[in-house]
Amino acid sequence: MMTDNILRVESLNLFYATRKGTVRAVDDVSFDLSRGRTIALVGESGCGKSSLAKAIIRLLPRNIDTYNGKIIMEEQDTMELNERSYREAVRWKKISMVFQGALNSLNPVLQVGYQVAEPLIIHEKMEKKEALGKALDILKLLRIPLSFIERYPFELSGGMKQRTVIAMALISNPQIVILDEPTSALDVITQANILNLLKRLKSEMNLSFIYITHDIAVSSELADSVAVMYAGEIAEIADANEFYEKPAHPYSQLLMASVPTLRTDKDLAFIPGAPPSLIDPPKGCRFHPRCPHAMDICMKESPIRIDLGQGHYVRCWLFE
Amino acid sequence: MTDETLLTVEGLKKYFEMKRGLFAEPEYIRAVDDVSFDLKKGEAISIVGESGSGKTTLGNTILRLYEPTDGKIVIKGRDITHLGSDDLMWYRREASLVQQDPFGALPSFFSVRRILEEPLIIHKMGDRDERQDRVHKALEEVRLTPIEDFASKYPHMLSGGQLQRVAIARALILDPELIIADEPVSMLDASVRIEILNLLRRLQEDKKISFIYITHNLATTKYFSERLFIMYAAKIVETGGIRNVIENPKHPYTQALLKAIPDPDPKNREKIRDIPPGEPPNLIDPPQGCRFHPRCPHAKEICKEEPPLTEREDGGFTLCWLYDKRYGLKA
Repeated sequence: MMTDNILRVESLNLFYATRKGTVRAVDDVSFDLSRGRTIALVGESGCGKSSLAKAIIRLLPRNIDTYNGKIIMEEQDTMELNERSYREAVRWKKISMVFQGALNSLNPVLQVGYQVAEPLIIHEKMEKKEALGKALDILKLLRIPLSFIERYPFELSGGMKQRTVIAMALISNPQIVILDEPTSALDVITQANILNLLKRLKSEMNLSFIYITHDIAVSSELADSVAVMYAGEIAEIADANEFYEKPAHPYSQLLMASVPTLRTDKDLAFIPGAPPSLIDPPKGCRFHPRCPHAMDICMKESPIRIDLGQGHYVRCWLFE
Repeated sequence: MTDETLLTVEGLKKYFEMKRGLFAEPEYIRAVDDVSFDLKKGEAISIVGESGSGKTTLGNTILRLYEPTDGKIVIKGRDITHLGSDDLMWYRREASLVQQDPFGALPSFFSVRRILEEPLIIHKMGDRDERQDRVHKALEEVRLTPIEDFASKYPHMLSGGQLQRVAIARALILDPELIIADEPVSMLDASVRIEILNLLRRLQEDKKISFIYITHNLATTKYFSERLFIMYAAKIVETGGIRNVIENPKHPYTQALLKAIPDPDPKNREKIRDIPPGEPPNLIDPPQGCRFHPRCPHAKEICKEEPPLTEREDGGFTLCWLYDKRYGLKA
């Protein structure tokens, strides 16, 4: 399966320093991503999924306590690059990102075409005309009517704004795009249209996506593999076919069982309690206080990453 | 559930006036446009719509947070459409609201005890001890135990799910007959959503409270209510028993909505969904006739005229030309 690896994240850590203590937002995270494939990062709010995205694309706040690990793209560990060379060679060019809620942060006084072309004009010192031509190509690809190029953001619907934001992420031809909740601000029909578009982009341009979402049902629209995050760690990572059929980690199982489904009838589960604080996470397995299968060892020792075969890994003592 | 009708809404309209200049003709946003339905005592219904469909305005108008532009609202036989503020105090005890955002809906400077006591004070109900009793009962009802602990906490000390329980307890404190729950779980994490929906369901069954559940999330409705109302561009376009509507949607908009909602399934990624393009119209100048016709795959010339109501087998109806014999006649 791991034929054409495009990104390898190894033991990535990102801790924030706050007055209350160190927040372990991303704690020893590793995964692989192949060309043209999508990995979905799912988890509840505060589990660290957006922090992981920011750690990968290196857009960090100032209060960093720890930031280390390996982020390997094309056999190069980008963590070894200084900020300047990272900015010049990697960010937006090899890997870009669609931020959560970005559709509301478009520049209100810039026309759509210019807004999309701007990075080329500013960073790559491209002629305005040429850059606009490129923007036009991308807009066409995203099925934005060409008449929109001279419109301002307030004249656009939510779906069109989201397309514009995706166009901005694609303008410098990256191979990897991080999508942070790209549809959660949209209505279901608009969401389905954007997902259709992302599916087409994925196959036509052979793009790799890191798809962050809290919605498991929606994650299955794009995911080739799924990583479940809990309290800063990846609890389980598996191929999509396997994950949606039989998730292994008790947290993944409960999360799946809590998804209301339209076409099948089932009793819905919920997870008692609340996710832990990332400043002082529970000892041992971080899920043990809420886990229906918790054993003695779960309270004492942090579970190791157990290989269930075929790229399926789980951090849970039940499988040891 | 008895057959007694609690609430009747008839031809309800709520238009908001918008002036674009000092001498300009006012324009109207038609947020709710000719909505009618009945709600039985102890019944739960769901109103589903996209953002901007008018579902929240409908809820707020029924609660008389807005004064209706036209139409009638009757609860327990009493017409409350244009009740003045003194008489509205009575209605405030009969009907209450649970909002979407529990972080914003509760005053941060009040303890939970004070939040729950406030409505009792405003409505001059009971003395101190009686009020305390009711506060405790309400906390028990929403399972915020140990009660003493939670009663003395402030909103910032609680999680989203716990805050929503407090908001529900507040909605219960005056012993209402009707609760409107407007997206009560959409801001909560998946793992606690079900807990809150179960809680609402239990209150409906045990206390025979009628519920109007307003949501954009069709998949959650069948865990909570019996009848479904689909709203598009300020109108109810289809209604019926939830399972019937999900299995046999008649209105092309309902059909599109159902197609757009995935269940978790790895096969989804291989499918391009057949979804109508475009987005809902603005409500200042909505399309003539059927408001969905510019996006509808079955649209014909006749759809530019007001669509008729066609009955569904389950007693519901759909607002669409497709099932009218005149649809086949014209090109």
